[in-house]
Amino acid sequence: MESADFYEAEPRPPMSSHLQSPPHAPSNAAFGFPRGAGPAPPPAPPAAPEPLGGICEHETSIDISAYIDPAAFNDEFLADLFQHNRQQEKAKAAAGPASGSSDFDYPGAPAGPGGAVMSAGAHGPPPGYGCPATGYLDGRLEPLYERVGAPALRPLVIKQEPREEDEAKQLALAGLFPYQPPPPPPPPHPHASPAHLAAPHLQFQIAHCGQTTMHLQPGHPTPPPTPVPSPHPAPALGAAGLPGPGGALKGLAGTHPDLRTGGGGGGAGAGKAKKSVDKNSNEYRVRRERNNIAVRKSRDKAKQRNVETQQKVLELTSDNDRLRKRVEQLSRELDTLRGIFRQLPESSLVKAMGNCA
Amino acid sequence: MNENFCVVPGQLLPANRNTPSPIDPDAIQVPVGYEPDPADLALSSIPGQEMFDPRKRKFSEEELKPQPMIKKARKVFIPDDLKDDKYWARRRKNNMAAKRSRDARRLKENQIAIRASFLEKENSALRQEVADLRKELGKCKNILAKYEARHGPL
Repeated sequence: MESADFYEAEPRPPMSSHLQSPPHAPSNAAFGFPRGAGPAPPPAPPAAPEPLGGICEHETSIDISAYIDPAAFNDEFLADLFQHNRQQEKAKAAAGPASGSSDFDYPGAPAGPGGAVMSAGAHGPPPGYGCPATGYLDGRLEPLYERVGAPALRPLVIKQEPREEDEAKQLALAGLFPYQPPPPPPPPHPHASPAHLAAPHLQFQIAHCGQTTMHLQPGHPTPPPTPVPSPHPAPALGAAGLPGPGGALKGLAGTHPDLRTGGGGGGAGAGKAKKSVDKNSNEYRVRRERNNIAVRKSRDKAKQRNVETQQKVLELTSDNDRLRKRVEQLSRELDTLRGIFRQLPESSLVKAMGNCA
Repeated sequence: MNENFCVVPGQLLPANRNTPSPIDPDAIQVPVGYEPDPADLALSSIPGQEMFDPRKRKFSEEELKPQPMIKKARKVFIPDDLKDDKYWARRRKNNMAAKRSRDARRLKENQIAIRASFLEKENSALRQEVADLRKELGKCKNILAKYEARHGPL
């Protein structure tokens, strides 16, 4: 499948340096040229899992529209998912990577195009990365996150919204991510560069469909101008992410009725008034989303900091012990010497000492 | 907090002692001019108990390991009619427990942070001490060498 080529295209230098020596030129890859000419090995399996894992991470934004019954979608559904996912996240975080794969059982059979794409061998699934089916929202990705320790990953994931989402909301979410991912040293995936995040998040939605991952290349300061992605079935997504965010959604906006109930933009969520906040309003949801992300980011940062501090304490304790022993040994030597000196006749010593500083 | 500990290793021994007895390394204390910010200290101390002393309070390896959370109960939404008194009593208990847990965690984290910064200072003081001792030792050996040069080996 052509998608394979696209995956191959992603260089991802910041990730695992030792793996990134693919023989292709990123710029070519950017436009998803079929790799007929150059070295065209099947991208996924022989390549080390890492690049694919990295790719997978981008691709974690799968199209789950196939799984979502449009009729079922409303905000409450979302809310439950949020809660449910937070639970899952905690549970998974504790349970460790082993449980990761179980996360990916979706209620619906992965029959849709999204499913098909995911199973297209483009990414040999290293379960550790949990690339398959961790579509919806943050919670699902928590385990992935926890395992990988890549805070940068989350916003990518969160961007995955069901396509029934209102256009405005999607746009709003796209605007959500001037997120500067912290580059903590351990996580090997600082790929979520602001630049490519700045491109509408829809690009990720598109990317998962096996379309070009060009927009995801972290190495490029700005995503290349968007050629329309290949005519891949992307029912969720309409057109590819375009520089004009509105353009991307044109396909959607026209066809989907506004499923959001109630207040819409005019909800009583004006400013920060706590009374009469319209929980159904788009704005509310968006704000909640933002806040959730921020909270998670902050908590992870704090957790990371604590871990490091504890590590430092351990290290310093052992260092200090070592140093103390050294001090003790040196001072014993010194005292020995001094004792010797005391034994010697003063006069000869004075002569000896007279020569040194 | 009075931070000025004397430097034990520098003491002279009485003349009748040829060799110094071993010093317990743990007893070795180096002057560490460390004053934690009183606000930080306050945050790290429990009001009813002694002030937190980064010197004395060592954290065992076990303590330092992060405590993973296990078996978190799933949140199930409870409709209002089921929120009876028992429910609220339980909520209250849990809320208090959660608060205690959070506070304890925060306290411990603060303590660890202070201890870490104390250890750093102590670390650099110890290094300095080592450097000084080596210098001193060097001088003494120098003297010895000069002496031996004149008077033959000891």
